[in-house]
Amino acid sequence: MAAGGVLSSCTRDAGQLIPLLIPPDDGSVPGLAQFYASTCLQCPAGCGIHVRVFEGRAKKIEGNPDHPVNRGRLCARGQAALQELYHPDRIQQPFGRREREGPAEPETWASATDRIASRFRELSTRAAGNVLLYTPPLQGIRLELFNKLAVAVRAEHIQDDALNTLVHLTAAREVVGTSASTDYGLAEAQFVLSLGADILETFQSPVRFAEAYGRMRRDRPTVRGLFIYAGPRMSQTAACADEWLPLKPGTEGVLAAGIARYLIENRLYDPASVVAWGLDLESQFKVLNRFDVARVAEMTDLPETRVLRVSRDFGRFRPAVAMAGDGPAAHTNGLDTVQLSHLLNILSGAMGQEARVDRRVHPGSPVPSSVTEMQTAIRRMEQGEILAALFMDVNPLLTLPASLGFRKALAEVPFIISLNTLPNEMTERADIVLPSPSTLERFQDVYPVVRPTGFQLGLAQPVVSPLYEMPSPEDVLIEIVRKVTGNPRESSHLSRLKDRVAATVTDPRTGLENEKWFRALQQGGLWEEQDEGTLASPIMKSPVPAPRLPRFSGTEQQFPFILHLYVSPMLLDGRSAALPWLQEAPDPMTTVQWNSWVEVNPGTAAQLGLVHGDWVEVESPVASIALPVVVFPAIRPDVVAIPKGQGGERGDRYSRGRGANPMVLVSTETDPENDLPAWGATRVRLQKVPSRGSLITSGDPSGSYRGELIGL
Amino acid sequence: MNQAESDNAAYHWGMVIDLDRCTGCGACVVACQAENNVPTVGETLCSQGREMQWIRIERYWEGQYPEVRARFIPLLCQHCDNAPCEPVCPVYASYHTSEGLNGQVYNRCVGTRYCANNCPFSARVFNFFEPEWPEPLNNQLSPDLTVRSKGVMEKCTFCIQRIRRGKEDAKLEGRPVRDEDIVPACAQTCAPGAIVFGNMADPESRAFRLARSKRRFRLLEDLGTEPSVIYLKGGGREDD
Ligand code: SF4
Ligand code: SF4
Repeated sequence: MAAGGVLSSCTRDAGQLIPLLIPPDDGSVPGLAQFYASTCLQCPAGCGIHVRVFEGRAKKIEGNPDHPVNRGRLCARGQAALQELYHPDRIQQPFGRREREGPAEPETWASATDRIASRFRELSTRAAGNVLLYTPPLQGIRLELFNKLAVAVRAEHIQDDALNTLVHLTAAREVVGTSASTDYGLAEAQFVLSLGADILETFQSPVRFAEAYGRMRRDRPTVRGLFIYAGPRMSQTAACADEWLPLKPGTEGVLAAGIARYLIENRLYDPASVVAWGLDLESQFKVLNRFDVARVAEMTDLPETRVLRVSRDFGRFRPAVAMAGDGPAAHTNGLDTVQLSHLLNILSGAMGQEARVDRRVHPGSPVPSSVTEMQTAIRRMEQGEILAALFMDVNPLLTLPASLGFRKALAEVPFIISLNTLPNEMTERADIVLPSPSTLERFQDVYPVVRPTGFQLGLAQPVVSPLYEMPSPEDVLIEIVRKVTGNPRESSHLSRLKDRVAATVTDPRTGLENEKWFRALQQGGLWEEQDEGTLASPIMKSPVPAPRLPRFSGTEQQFPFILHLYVSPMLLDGRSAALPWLQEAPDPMTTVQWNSWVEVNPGTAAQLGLVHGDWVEVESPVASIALPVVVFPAIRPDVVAIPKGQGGERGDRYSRGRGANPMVLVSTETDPENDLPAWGATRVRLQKVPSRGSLITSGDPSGSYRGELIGL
Repeated sequence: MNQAESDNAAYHWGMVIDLDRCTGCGACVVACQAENNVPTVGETLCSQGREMQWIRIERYWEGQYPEVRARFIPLLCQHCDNAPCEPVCPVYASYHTSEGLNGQVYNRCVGTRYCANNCPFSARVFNFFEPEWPEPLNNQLSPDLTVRSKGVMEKCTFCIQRIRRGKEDAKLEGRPVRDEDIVPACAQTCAPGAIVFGNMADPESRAFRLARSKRRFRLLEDLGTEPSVIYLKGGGREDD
């Protein structure tokens, strides 16, 4: 009371002064920084973090040096997660809308979950499949709870594969018999071939890969690992390569087939690995026989000398590792390319360390929905068969190809619930908006997409007292399940989490079961470095099929350019677009800030009379968008590239109305045999249009200024 | 000799940036903004070249398609021993510390911008306007250093607050600062480990040893500013 009396005159500062007099109950010590271990949730990599907290406020995120995924390092997006926590546009409480797109009115948690539960119950008693649950690919407790809810309300659950992991899981299952989480021994490699895998920016576990890349290059006194990148556009990753092979889009698999054939023909494979995996060389050679160097050169549009050299080097250096990434995976033959990359690793002997099955408490890998499942769900929405839909942490209006018809279908769903931390296109349309705590304010069990040996689970935990009082999404789901089933005994999120931690394998060296929870909190997860895990049983389905030719939507005459879409290094597929540090951080290759653009080869630009900053209409067989041009020296003349991530219309103040969303251009090509999406298989044409604004780059567009001067 | 002077003799801070490791990812840029209360300025001011980042990644193109290369180079204040920004400041806001740092006294700065004009690396940034952190974004601001106001010049300090903390910790424990105890925010986050910071007065330090590499060079060496940042040349196939 006395303190209150003394301070009452300086009202504005009281909030900061009181904690110095009355010890705060959140364990913080005035004037002293504390570090809390947690897990980054900005992408599926699941890097370990230490958050520096000062008087109850999070100040800085560092990599956790003891975490086996990222070994103390972080990417720009991980650094920027603070701005999600303190974002000025965060949703602070539940909202309801009486009419679609009408004003949002505050609602209590009790009434919102009541309304959801009673609607779900009513719909599910009428028929199965009236309710749709729509999330990213889930694992752990989240998956368990969504499964529970799906059973309780007889719902369909779509796990939207916005980052295109299904093709990698399918390829691993097809070739090595398990969709295990795969790691690559990059740091020890002498030769790394990336088939469009942007390992240093966005692919799977970029911090882990980049850390290993640094060691591959310069940690060994006598060996500098070589890095070759094949793909139609020079990405930031490709820019780091010793050699960039600008092949035709969709022919990455052809190159891999050619290398495999060369290795077999010249006996440059690792015999032990071939035997261990049960690879039948003769039949494999037969399958790939037509991919000789000359043919591969012609199909990929690369010089024969280059094809020969990369083939020879892949056979000459040990260990040699091949990785196939998102670019090739998005073609109609994407599966072939990824499968052939595994074949290369089996031939080079790198596969031994690569495939590891994780048979632990968590399900081994996520199971994203197939194209057919997506298309069916959208069709059912459109036909009015989905009467309620719950969306969590997704923005399909931005990330799905518009041609799938999601926007139109959504309008037919009478009851939409959206759960998110920040506003986006979905929360702006939802009938009930539920906020979710930011990633630094909640618990979550995390299963990194690339899991190091012995890794059991990552733990995200609240590092500050919540800015706004709200339950975790898990507890919201539990509440809905409780209300739907009338069973009050569903255990809480926290007790489920403790159970999961308790169920992990105990390391005999470190001990006691009941210490596990505290250890998990202290470390931000559980892992045992000595544990060898279980290796995949070395059985492969051989032979690996020859690559099919890619198909494209649109004819070459009408649409002369292949559209190459890529995940933005800063904004990903748009999930980081709300963070101003990342909007202002220049794109590594173009140095563009706060915008999106289309990249055009200089020769092509000259032919079309385009210069840097001109505007063009990019037209595909399904739609068109206008964008400013970046004349990009390192892209094939027959390809144009656009980053994903911008083009949100309805979100927060920093991302709203910026750039254009290239997903509207995409035709929904697929790989029908394997039920996989092929959202990189669209052709486009360009038409110059009057300027609609300026394009801001932090560097000189030509990039060569003073380059010689500084002695590069 | 007082404590301060004996400290001074012992340290000369410097940095080595290995361009063969740097991937141009920009994590260091964001880490620096978080660490040092560096504001974002928005699209319009960016278009006028008024972004505030203390470290930036320059990208250079070489050659023409298909024989084209891109190179990245992280660029920050070079903490020149012979710093051209220092003598031009009429109020001695830009000065040299005895530990080799190029310091900036914010509350002395009167905003003439002579220093920025004289910096050949464009390492200095100026607060043309009052920086903005819409609430509650301001909660992130670090209490370890000031928020600079309109009219003040700022730039990379080699994370002076971390240097101080490192020295204080060492002093409390009654030992000298150990090599790599002090890690600036950029170096700490850099995934491939491209940035190494250390005491160039200590021949045993990792930074000192790396700085003797055959691949070493400094930016605009011929200007004679004697930068404390040493770059190691990036690769290219060695069998080429
Ligand atoms: S790679 Fe993903 S998980 Fe790791 S720091 Fe970056 S955003 Fe976070
Ligand atoms: S964080 Fe490291 S790799 Fe990334 S741009 Fe900075 S120096 Fe280069």
